[in-house]
Amino acid sequence: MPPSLSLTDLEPLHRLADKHARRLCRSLHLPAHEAEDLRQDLLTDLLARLPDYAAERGDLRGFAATCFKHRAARLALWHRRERASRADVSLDDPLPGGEGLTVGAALAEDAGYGAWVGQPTDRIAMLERRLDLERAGQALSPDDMPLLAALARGDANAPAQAGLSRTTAFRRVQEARLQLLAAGVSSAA
Amino acid sequence: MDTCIPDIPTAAAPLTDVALCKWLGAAAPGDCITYHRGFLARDISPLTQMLPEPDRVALMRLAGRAWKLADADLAHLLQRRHGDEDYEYLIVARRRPRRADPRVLARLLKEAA
Repeated sequence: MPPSLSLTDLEPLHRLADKHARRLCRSLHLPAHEAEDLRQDLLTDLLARLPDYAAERGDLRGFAATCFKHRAARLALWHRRERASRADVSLDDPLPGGEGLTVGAALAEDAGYGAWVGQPTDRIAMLERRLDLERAGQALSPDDMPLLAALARGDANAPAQAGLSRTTAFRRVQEARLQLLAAGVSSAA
Repeated sequence: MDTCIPDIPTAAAPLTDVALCKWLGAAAPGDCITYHRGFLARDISPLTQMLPEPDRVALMRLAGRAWKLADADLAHLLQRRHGDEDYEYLIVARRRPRRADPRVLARLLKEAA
């Protein structure tokens, strides 16, 4: 990297990166706000390559333009691959020969988006779990409620929230766990 | 007769307090398991030194847990005499209340909200 390179030298490169990013955005039919990310990507790539720049072989703008062009080509390829790996189908699209059925209606609940993001998919199991918890909840001591509520909220300092020492809180959680186990909530194990 | 629940391998000896609770959670009314064989009062006493200290503490926890479960009306505690200072300590699962009171869970969820 030339030791004399200053922010003033880099200023035209920002405009050049802008231009390449907007062009890439248009060619990939991306929303306009994506241009900012692409611009950052192009500039980061250029910064990584600047140490290889030799002033005697050409001016910095030409070097940057080549870097941007190559990086843009790679980004375009990556975006196209991403798109090709996804089905361009809407859940509301009708199924071919489905007599009014949509794509969404043909997807099983355990193969849907909820399952993919880790949500429970079996409604009957959810209902049974709720009933189990309602029954098991009676086994818990009312004194433990503030502590358990603080834990359920995910408070970092749940014992202090419940006005307990850490040792007492740990003992009570252990007790509640055993009570839930005895009440049939196996997930408390 | 003792009831084995295949899904709960930890209900096999040596039984722990956690395994006992797990067994009871999956047990049907009338199911029964032996949680100790010997003479409990003597075995858990620190003076008699019948068991190594970790085993004695574990047995004390187990027996205490069995007592708490019985106290919570979840189980019956029974003894079967086999000989002099040789008893089988049994825990029998009781019937659970059919109707649950949903207020407890609702209260817990409300406090956590």
